[in-house]
Amino acid sequence: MWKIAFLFISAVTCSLQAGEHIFVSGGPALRYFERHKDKDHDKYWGNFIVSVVARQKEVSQEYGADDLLTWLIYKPAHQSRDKEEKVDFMPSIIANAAKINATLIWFSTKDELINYINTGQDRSKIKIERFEYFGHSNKRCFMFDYSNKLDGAVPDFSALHLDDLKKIKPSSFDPRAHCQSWGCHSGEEFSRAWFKQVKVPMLGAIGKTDYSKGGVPHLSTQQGRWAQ
Amino acid sequence: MKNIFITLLLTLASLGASYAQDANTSPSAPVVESINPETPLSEPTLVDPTPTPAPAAANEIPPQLNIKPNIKPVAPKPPRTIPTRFGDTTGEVFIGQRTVINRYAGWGWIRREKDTWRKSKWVMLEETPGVLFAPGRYLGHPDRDNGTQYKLYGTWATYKGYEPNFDVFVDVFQIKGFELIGAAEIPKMSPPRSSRGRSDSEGTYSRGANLRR
Repeated sequence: MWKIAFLFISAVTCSLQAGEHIFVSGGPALRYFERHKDKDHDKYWGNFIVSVVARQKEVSQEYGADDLLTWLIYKPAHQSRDKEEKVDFMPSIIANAAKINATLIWFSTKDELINYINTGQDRSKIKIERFEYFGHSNKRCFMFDYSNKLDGAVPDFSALHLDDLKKIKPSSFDPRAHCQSWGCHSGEEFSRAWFKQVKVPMLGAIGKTDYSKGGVPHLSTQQGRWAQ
Repeated sequence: MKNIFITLLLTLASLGASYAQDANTSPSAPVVESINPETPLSEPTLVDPTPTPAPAAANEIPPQLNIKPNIKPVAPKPPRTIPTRFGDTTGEVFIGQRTVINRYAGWGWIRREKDTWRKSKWVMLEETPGVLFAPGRYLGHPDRDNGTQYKLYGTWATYKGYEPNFDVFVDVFQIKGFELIGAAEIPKMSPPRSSRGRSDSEGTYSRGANLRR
């Protein structure tokens, strides 16, 4: 009985405190690697940037006045794409972050992302209420650097694999947090592993997702659906 | 008699003039279009009707045809070939066999020069676009050198590469130079695979979120 009362009180307390909404963007592939492929990726460098802006507009009503909005973006892939296109996209990314009032944090490895999730804020007070990922993925891995440093592959330090999920502290999350991956195939295996390790469900796609319309990505496989 | 001769001359002269006029206006007159692309096509150049000099020798070009076209000669593209040597070819020698495996990321097999192929590793190649790249890119498509063997120079990366179709982490070779050996065959080998099975989906793996844009 006391246990239930304690859980109820902590849940109420939690709901009154500010929470954090986190968007994570992976990086684009290089055209140098992709242009020879039948199904090439990332003709547009900013797929995982504009989709976050569109998504934020969709969910902005769900934020509390004191909630934090944090946008973590994988930097190395954006830098090398800048170099390839000979255009500095960084000011555009920074402007987009300012447009949605997000705190922009660059990361370069999966460990930096995990560290932010675990200790980026005082997690005893500020819980993660939303965690959404935009980028390349397969059913077992978020690939922040797909086909950018390596042709058709990912360096291990930028591949958040199922096996890495045990490093994430479940206590960082609000039990009712909304977690979602907008990458391909996450709902086929990653979501299940996420729930097992992080104790919060993650919505993921069964099938592929498509960013080509420029807004929030949509399911592009004929029998695709969202699962958690 | 003198009158007859004058009359004959006048008749011949008038006939000649009418022939010359006909030659200028006849639709069957040969029209040579200018070769210079800057000349408008609506104003074709007509052949001068004045009698041409005696036929030129075979190796001489008649002056009215000796028009140099204002078109820059197009040099034929050199065939795409892999250089026999490229980059820094000092240091330890590795033997690399370019091997293309459908739906399996990576470059091919690499072994130390003194080792046999049984000790070779499946590797990914770390390239530096525009500076150091996989030899096959010289052929316009990175897969066109399948089955070619090289001496490779470089170092092993301190990180591994994630193969997204078979869910394994494989070694990465940072190339700094190569020497072409040529087409070669090696024993058939299978690259590593995850014990969990493939990580692509439904047999039609799409490696990323964006298909068309």
